[in-house]
Amino acid sequence: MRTVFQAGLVVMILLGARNLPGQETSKLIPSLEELPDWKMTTEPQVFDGDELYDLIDGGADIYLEYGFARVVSAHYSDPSFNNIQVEIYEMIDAPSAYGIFSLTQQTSEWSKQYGNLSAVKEDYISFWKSRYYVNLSWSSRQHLDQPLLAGLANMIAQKIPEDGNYPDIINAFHVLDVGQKAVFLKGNLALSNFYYFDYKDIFKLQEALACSQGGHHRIVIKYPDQAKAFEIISGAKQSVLNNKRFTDVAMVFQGFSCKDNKGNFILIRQIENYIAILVALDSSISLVPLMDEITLKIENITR
Amino acid sequence: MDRRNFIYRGSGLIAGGMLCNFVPLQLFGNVNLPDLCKVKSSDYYAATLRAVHELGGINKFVPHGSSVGFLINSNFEEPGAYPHPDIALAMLFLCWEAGAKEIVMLQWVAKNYWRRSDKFDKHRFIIEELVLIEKNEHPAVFNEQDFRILETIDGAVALKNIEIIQKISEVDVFINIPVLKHHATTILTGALKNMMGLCTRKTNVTFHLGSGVRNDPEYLGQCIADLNLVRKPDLIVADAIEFITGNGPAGPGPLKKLDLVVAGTDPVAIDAFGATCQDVEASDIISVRKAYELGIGEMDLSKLSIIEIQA
Repeated sequence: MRTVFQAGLVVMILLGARNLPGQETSKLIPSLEELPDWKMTTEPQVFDGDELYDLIDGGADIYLEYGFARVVSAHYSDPSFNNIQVEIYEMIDAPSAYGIFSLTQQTSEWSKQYGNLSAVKEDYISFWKSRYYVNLSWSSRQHLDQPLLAGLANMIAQKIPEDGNYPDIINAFHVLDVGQKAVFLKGNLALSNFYYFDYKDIFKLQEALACSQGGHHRIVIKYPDQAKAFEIISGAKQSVLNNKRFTDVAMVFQGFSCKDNKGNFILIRQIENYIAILVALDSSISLVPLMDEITLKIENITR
Repeated sequence: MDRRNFIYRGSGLIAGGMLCNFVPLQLFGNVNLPDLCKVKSSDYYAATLRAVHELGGINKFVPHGSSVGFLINSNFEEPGAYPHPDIALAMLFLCWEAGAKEIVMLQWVAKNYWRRSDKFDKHRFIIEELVLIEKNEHPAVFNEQDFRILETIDGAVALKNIEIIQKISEVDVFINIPVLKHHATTILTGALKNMMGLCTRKTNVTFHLGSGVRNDPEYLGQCIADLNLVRKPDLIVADAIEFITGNGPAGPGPLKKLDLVVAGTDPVAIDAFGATCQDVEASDIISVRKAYELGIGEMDLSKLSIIEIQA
């Protein structure tokens, strides 16, 4: 009996020592000691899993597709009615946090000012570090105190102990330069938010990189094996043939080509266990040499 | 100077021309009114007045002494993620001029939204009289005073047991003011999807998760279409002035500027036009297709009478 009691006690102590869900993320929220003269309008709120629909009015699905764990949201105000909103999104891992940063900030300039990567505007700072995606905004738009916002961003970034790793596919293709703004995609919603093919997941996408450079979009999707990639490109071609938004569908080397409703030329090729998609945004762009370059790179990776 | 002239002068408009809005076009003979009217102008307030005029004038939609419900997709911060407030202010003014008994905001509209317009002060006297359903603010929670439960919707394929704002079935006139912006899941948030602003958070979550499959765009589109069976707007005035084409619905995202105010009474047609704004086909927007299949409106724009005016 005594042994059972002791074992129970040990279990309780171990459970007590563990952080409750959200506790670790909540610790990243700046305290009022760190923000003198400011007050929190309410206690920081934690939204777990599907509770994200309570915080985000539309658009929660994309976070959930990437692998969302929880978000902690805090709102501060000062006597001059300035407001700061801090939202710290905890994703299931660092690549997922990179993914949501890269997708939602794809139109902003990227820098390494805060965390691993950040997007900074006059009244807004967003950054990725480890499994966290952090947003800070100054909402009153009066008496904007940029140094204070920057200080808060630094404070939060410093509290996150690890940098976290980039997604494997981003590493593999060496697109770590901030100027390249490589977007990590984890599903069809993310793909549709980069380039829209179909609401149906015609590429069965789970892991891809996407970037825009030199007048074209580049999307590289990874599959578990070559057979899967072949099966999917065959199905995708059929879907594109049935979609009246695409015309001029033609068989080409290891894939197919077509034109979208804007007249953009699209080249799609299966290379080993990858499918590469190029969309020319400018009619003067020749996609075949670019595709050959990607082919060479994939062959080097998979060799 | 009375309030009417104050606003007219403030808007740089000629009162005589403006009064056309209150004179039904039918008085001038057998006039074929368009299904959709697009007005291109950098004066969005004037463009709105003109668009309503081309559809037959405000009195066609808002009888004297009626109660009018507005649904404005206003609860966003980033440019291109909310309808320009000049559109909503112009519509408020038209309803006030038409002699509306009350103007109800069916979803909470923050004062900050109106203040984004330089015409805010001139319309303050209308804004202060608005009836606000304060509890219908995201994430809205059911209460018996403001919401009711609709167990079934006639003709609906998937949607049932919804919690919806009570006033939608009480107002005489319903005006929907969306922005034709991008949405990460549905590609477009337009007139059809804006109707989700009438429901509680609990109901809206069922649109996303109710089929048992995560990210089920077919089910979401069906629910949006079904919801539009509850009540069709009497008038829709949509913002195609400047809107996000990515990272929607909240943004920030890439902006596309067309300087268009689009008005009509058919939410399917408005959204079919919205699809073109997002460079996709109407049939790519599942809610448009499903709503068309339910007979809510027309998705083939070539079958409609559409006018575009440069104002």
